[in-house]
Amino acid sequence: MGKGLAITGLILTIFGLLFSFLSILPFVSIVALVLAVAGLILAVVGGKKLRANNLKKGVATAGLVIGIIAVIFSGIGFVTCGACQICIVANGNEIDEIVDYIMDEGINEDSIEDIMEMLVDPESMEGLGGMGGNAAVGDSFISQAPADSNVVDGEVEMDMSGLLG
Amino acid sequence: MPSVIEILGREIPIYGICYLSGIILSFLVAMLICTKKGLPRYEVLYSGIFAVVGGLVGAKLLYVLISLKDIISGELSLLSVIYGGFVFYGGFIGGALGLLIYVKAFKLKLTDFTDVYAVAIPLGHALGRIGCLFGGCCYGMPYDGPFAVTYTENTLSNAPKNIPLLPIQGIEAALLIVLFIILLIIYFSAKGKNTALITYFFGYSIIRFTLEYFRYDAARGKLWIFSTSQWISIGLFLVGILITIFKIKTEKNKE
Repeated sequence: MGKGLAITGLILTIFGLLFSFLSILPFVSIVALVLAVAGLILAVVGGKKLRANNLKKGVATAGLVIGIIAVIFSGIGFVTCGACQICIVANGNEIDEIVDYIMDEGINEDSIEDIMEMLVDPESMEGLGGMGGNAAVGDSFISQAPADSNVVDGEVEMDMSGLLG
Repeated sequence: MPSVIEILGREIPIYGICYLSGIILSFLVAMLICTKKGLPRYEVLYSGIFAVVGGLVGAKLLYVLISLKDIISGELSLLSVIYGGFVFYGGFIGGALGLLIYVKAFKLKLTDFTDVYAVAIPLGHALGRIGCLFGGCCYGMPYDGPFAVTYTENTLSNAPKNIPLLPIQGIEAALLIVLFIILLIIYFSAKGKNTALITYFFGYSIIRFTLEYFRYDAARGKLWIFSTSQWISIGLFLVGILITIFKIKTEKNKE
């Protein structure tokens, strides 16, 4: 029983560690953390049972070591990539609003001022609470706002490549 | 105050590094001193894992609980709360439950562990509080004197920007280090069990209750006249009294 638990724990911690390297993907860091923690607990319980029966604890020890590393890595992924994901979601919503506005109003002398305001609106960074989002991501989004524009036939042409990144 | 540090091209919050370092430091201290009370090192490691897991879950749950009002009103997104902060007292309660589960599951004596943990926790906690100082997730009242801290626009902090604030987390860190030293002396000199634990309960509850009045983030959680943490401090103090009464009665019965 102890060995089974220890092996299961080892497998879960290995998966937790692997998933922690993929923390850049949305919510994967949470999956990694859950796997690592579950594996760690099973490795501890398996190790205790093996120790109580005077059996070899190598598998449990391996699960323990990998589990601790997996928790640390997935924790870092949770904290760093999570902050980025808050900002990406928040900024993604902002970009959707701007695109919808452009589709409805078009780009002309009247709408250009509203679009510029939306692009540099600092409220896109507010209301996030907790970590507050990654300021660096927010700054780069704002800095990609088109700076060059040409007036052609009474309408303003804008370089959208910065917006679309 | 810088809130992130760049490691291998990735920005990592100092808050997280400090909390992680604090947990590791507490583990190391516990494993160094545990043999004095006849507790094997592997028991501290195993029970510590249960306590840390319980602590992380508890700290996050309490943060979600105190942010519930803001989540419902839409001021905070659930996503930002999930990825956001932690509350120490939630971690403390969760950690204690984690330890209790371990002790009950393996039919061990809780009192064999309590003094070891009571000594180890404040040092790690102090390091975590230094992380809070850098992170600005919790902060002191406006203050324009020596050691004031100012959070600028380009930090991840919740704190009011560009206003000098009392470095309340730094003050708490310093007091926790003093508490750790006192507990270490008591651990190595006192006879019997739970003396260090009782001292920790009284010491930290008084520190936290008092410092809450100098924090500027009371909106995080308040019930009637006290903040959430002050109520928990009162609870901790009462638990300290109960353990003291239990200890005196047990020792009288032994005589």
